[in-house]
Amino acid sequence: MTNTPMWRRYLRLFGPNVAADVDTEVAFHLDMRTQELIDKGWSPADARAEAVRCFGNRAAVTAECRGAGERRAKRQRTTQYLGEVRQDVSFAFRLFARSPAAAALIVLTLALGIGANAAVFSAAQAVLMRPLPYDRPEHLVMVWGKFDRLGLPQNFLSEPEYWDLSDSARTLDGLAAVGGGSGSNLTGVGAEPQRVTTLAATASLLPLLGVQPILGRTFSASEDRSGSARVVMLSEGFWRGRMAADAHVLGKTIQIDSVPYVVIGVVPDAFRFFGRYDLYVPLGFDRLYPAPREEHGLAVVGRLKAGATIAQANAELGSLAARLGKQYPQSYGPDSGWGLYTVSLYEQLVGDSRRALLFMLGAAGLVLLIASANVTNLLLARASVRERELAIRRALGAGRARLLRQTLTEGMLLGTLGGALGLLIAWWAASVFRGLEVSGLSRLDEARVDGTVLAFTAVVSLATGVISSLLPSLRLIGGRLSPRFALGGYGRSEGAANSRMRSILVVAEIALALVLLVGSSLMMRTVWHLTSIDAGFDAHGVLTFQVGLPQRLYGDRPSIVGFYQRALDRLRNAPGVQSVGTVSGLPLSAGGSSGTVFIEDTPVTNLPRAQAVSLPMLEADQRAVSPGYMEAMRMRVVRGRVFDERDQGGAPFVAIVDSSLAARVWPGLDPIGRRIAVDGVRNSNPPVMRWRTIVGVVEHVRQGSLDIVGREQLYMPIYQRLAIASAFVVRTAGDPASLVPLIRREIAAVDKGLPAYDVKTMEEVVGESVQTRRMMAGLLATLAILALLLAVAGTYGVMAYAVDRRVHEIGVRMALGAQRAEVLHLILRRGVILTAVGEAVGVILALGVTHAMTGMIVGVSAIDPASLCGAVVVLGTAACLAIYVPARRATRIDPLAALRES
Amino acid sequence: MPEPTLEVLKGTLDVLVLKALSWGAMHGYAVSRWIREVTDEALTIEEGALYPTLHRLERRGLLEAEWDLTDNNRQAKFYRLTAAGRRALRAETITWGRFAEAVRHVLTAKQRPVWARSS
Repeated sequence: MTNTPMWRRYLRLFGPNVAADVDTEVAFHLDMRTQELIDKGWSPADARAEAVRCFGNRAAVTAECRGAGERRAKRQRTTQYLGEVRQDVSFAFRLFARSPAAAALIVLTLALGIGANAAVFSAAQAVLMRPLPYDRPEHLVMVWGKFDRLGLPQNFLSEPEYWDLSDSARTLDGLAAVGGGSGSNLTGVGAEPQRVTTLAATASLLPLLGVQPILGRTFSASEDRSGSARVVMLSEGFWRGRMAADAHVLGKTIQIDSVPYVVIGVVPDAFRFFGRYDLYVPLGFDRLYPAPREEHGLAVVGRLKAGATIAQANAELGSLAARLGKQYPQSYGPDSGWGLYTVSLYEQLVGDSRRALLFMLGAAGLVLLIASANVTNLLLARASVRERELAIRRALGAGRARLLRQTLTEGMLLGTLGGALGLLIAWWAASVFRGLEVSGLSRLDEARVDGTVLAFTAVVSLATGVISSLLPSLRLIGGRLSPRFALGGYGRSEGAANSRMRSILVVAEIALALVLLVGSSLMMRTVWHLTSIDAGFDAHGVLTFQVGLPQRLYGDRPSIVGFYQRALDRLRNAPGVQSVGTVSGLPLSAGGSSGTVFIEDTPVTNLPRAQAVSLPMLEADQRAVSPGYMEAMRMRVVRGRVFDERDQGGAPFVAIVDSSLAARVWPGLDPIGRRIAVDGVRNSNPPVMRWRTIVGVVEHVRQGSLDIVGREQLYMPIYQRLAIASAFVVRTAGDPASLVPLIRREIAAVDKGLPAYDVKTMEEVVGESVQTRRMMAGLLATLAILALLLAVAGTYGVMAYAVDRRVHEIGVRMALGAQRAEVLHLILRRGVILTAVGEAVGVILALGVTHAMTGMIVGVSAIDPASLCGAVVVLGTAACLAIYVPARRATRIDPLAALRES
Repeated sequence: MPEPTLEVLKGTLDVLVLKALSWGAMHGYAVSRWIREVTDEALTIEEGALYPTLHRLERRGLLEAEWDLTDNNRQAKFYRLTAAGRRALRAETITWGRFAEAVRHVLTAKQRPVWARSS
């Protein structure tokens, strides 16, 4: 007791009642002083008065002493509490040091579980939670048009529509538009011509989004007019990367497609709107002579007026669209399902990723649950060893609350250590995410371990530590205080309650792991299904690249035709090339466009009709292709022929349709020889259609995305429908990547100012189109493997522990004549039953959970017998191995040694 | 003899208390009485001022306190020196000795400094 500070004894006697202590002390002084004076012969009343006088200001002294005392008492309580925490922590560390392997195993298990969660959280945070880098982003909306009955649920707007909105939409406080981003050839920066990406935007875009340039200024309204001075803003990345962050860049002139532009500003990289671009130029609207109403190419963003809701905006835009429909019937046919609506910008950017990422968070949560169950198991095993220690401590007077605090401190400490290690995993994973460049998950490249991720990890770590140590703690502390326990030996088989809890944990682990295995199998089968889907072309052995012809140099028909003919000729005759062609929009890439196709004659009556020309029509995907394209892509011709050198500009106009257009418009009939049109003859009133005769039918191609069949398709010869930007496809018998130097050389030989860009094999293009799902599949597979390992390790741990505890019993059994096979059976039975129950529960859970994956999985049912069976077999095999190893060890027990030991 | 000012006393009180307690554990009243008697009541201070001093010294760890019964069976708070308090007393005693010595030297100086003008 000598170590106990005096104040503790004092506190125990009187409690922390500082005020009463001071009063007692002062009263005692006055009484003693009074008595002293009485002893000297004073009268009691005078003595009292004199004592009080000598004491001085009693109230002030009392107040001062009380204040000081209370501060001290508080500090003492804190000191005591901290002292106890320190005691708990150092005790926990001593405990870990006594069995470092077990502690390391627990910390590692927690680190995997917590790390997986922190990693997925860092991705989810970057994509979903971080606010968009704009001013008051919650008020920003995208404005879209739609032609529901033409199969266009989300369509860009045209310039006249932009003006209509800007004039009459009362719910919108500002409006900006961007044209489709495009590639341009840049000269004047560096020696070589470069390919750059350019976004044309209205002057209002940056002020609307609240983005400040880091250098210079944004466009003025006067620069955003057709025919005004040409100005350009650079992106920060372009400015730093290609212009070495030139501080005097403002006022310099660069050549975009051989047209001079004056640099007026630099835009920060945090700003990005529908992707990253190198350069920004004004859109240059012309209010007096706007582009045609049917030319839908503008992405429009607006800011909701303060207090206005999306629903109000949609209602207003709905009536505006109806008014426009009446005013311009030739632009918006009554049967087209025309409308206008808004979507919040956040929804537009992250809407699709949200479910996938939340699903991944859920999957990571399951892994953490399995890890927790494992840790609980390990702690339970240790608890049975520690029962004696805790019983003794309780016998010596430690309260239950104090012991609970001790064991929970241990749990939190383990959680913290695991979390710290988990952060390393998250930090590494975030750097992997940043490098993935998954275009479907915008801002994934901003994933990092920041304050929010740290806070999340801290909370998860502590909670996991507490949760996984709670059961073992309660078990330890709730146990009856029996002397037999305290003095009893080690080596008895474990208690029934402990054993039951352990069994439940193993069942839960196996069930959860099975759910993850099934989920990841579904996702992998989806990717496998998509990449093996028959897209209507053969990607193997094809190299692709893009070439864009600057309008200034290729402004007329002969120059464009000349370029394509020379380039195709050179490539076709190059060594190793089997066939070559061009297409205005490469399948599974961003390119490609659709438009109205007018039909001269069809037996089908349910097609919409164009009013002005009174013709049946439908919206179809349209591509201009060169001779050789269909051969190079190995598209299958159903009827008729493909394009060849006959289909020149002066030749009869022809077209090829896909099997789905043929079936839709001429079901059961032969389309060859029938006529369609996509445009009219210029300057004719009434309109005269430019008819094209169908010369062939090809199989449908998945142009937009592998998982969407897509609308009907129409192909036209490039010389009869000129495109100034095209993708080249080059087929070779060998490795397509080996053709890269050759194609660069050949294109340079035709025009050395033209860069070939986006050079990829067609298989890479196909792969990139499924990269979001591929990433999901990879992530889910990683989590599932983690879950499998943890569950198997957990099962092994429980079985090995059970064998350890039964060494004596098994020894006795063997001494009494039990055969090795019987012992094996004894141990195996429990493990196999647990695994079977766990898998059964897991199958039921999986059937419920995989429902949430509809939409993410393609080509495979959410209830997929193959995935279920596969998961059951893989997990069952692994678990049986984990059971067999300790069971085998049980059969090796030497009965004599076992008996002697106890 | 004029009474010393309160300012001097406040600093002095600490060392007086430490000295009082160097004889053994005492309650506050006993400390005040000992100081009064030893100084022949020359240092007449307000007795109440002693208590904040005691509490301050306790907080600084120079004293420790314990409630106990007095000889006539009353509850009283007894203070005693801690090891730190004993060290502080030793240090203060030396400082006070030096200070008193220095003051004594000054007041008993016999030699007139050369730079003093004769009056």
